Amino acid sequence: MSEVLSTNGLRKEYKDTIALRDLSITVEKGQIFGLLGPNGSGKTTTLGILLGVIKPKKGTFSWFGNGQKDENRKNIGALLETPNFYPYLNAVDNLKIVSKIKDVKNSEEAIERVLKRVNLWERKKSKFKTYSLGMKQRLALASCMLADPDVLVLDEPTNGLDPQGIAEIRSLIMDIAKEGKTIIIASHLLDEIEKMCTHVAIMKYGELLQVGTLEEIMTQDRMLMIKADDLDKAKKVIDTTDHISIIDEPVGELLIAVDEKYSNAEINKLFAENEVYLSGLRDHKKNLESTFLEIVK
Amino acid sequence: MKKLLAIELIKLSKLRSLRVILLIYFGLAPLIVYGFYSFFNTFMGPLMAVSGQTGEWNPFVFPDVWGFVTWSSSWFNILIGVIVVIVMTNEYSYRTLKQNIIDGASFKEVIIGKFFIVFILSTIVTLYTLILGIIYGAANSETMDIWNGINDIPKYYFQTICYFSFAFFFASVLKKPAVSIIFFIVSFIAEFILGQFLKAGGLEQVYAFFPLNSFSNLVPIPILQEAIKMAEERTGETPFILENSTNLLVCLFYMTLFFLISLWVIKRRDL
Repeated sequence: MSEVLSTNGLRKEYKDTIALRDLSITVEKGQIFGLLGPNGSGKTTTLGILLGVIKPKKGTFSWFGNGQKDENRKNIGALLETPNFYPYLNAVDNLKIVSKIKDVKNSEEAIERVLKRVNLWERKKSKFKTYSLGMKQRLALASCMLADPDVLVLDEPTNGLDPQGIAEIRSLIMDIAKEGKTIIIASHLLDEIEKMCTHVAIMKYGELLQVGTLEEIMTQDRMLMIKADDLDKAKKVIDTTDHISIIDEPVGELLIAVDEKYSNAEINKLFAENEVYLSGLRDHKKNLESTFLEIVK
Repeated sequence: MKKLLAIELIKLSKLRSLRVILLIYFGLAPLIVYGFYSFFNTFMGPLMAVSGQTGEWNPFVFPDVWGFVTWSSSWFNILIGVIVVIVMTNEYSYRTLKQNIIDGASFKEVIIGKFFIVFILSTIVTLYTLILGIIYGAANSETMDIWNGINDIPKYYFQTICYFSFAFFFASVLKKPAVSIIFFIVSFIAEFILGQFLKAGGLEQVYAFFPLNSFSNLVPIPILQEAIKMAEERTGETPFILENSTNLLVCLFYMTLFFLISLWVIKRRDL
């Protein structure tokens, strides 16, 4: 696989806050790369730097092995935070501007193709400001696809959409992914990421905590849901051990992450030895959400 | 370059505030020219007498019409400057400047694109002023001596570019439309007041190099010569005015400076 993006020690500071701490990642061609993290974890800052609108304090990055040239971005379709278009212009005029910036050949054909793909062809002459949020997001995706780029960078593409809008956007992204394009996507919606991504990077407070394939990330530790008469005492036991940690506390239960080498019987025995008697202990099927919570806890 | 011009024309073609302000300008400019004509003849009679003229001064004949229409129209530069501010600050408020960069434009291309707007607007107002001058001159002159004194038109063109560059500079640096417009307008008043203090302190030579004063001197008040004579008679001293060529260089310096500062500011700030 060829390298599409590499970053080396990217760092960004705002006065007394470190927004990004020496980020080094690599994205290969064809990967669907999810960037995960709670609010303020540095996802948008990372994408802003990679797209040339935020200046890093330190570090370098390279697109397509071609450094940080402006030309590189013409081969990237990007939606950062919100769809940004001229509100008094219609969809066609807005896309004409994008096509000229990106040097798109046969721009009229390209505009028709992408507007039809996102179901906005019928509204092509409507001003951007008259669009619903879902339509604005769809136009942004159309703009991303206009130059038929090799890479898409999408920052919270389903933000603020209703369930139907989310489904539409997800379906579009999945279709684009099938074409073999590289997609870098930052999202809060872990379910979305789990359904779409091949690779994941998890960030917190500007720091990269984990990076790897979805399987690699999800096979770390295993999870158990336990019940006990005295959950407070159970928590104290957990605090004293290195190989167990609390992931979540649903009512009357504890979701815990356990080192792979310990069996359920050994866990039960550990609690019993500390006079905590479990009334329930069952394996919990890991998903990206519980893995994410475990990593960022 | 052709591409950048095409992009800016798409943006401008549907901008309502541009149409409204240009319509106001097209409608008001001829009236304002007449307003100044009445003003000079009512209140500036003594100036006419200084140069030995009698009766009513008619600035609508060739070649005087060129100096008069360009100077009168130059008062609208503030209004057109507001369009420049709106166009530039729109890019910040719509976040389209950021999107243009994300889409692959360079910072230099974005700034050059905006300077095309400065040139487009300067061309529009200069052509309109040229047409006004031809109409007024043709209607009032006995002979159609259009070319005599028409060099005021390129000077006026250069002046509009300088003023609009100044507006563009404020918009690029301050980002907010209202703040930029206020600073743009207040700077005229502030420089004038500062200039009066400098003059009073015997530093007239320094004031001559101030940006707005230099721009203004590109198209001087039509009765400037009379005003100078009157001032000489009253004070016995000749007012300090830069040579035309020096003044042109000063204006060119400021225009380039505004362009470079705008580029520098936009390049180094996060969008």
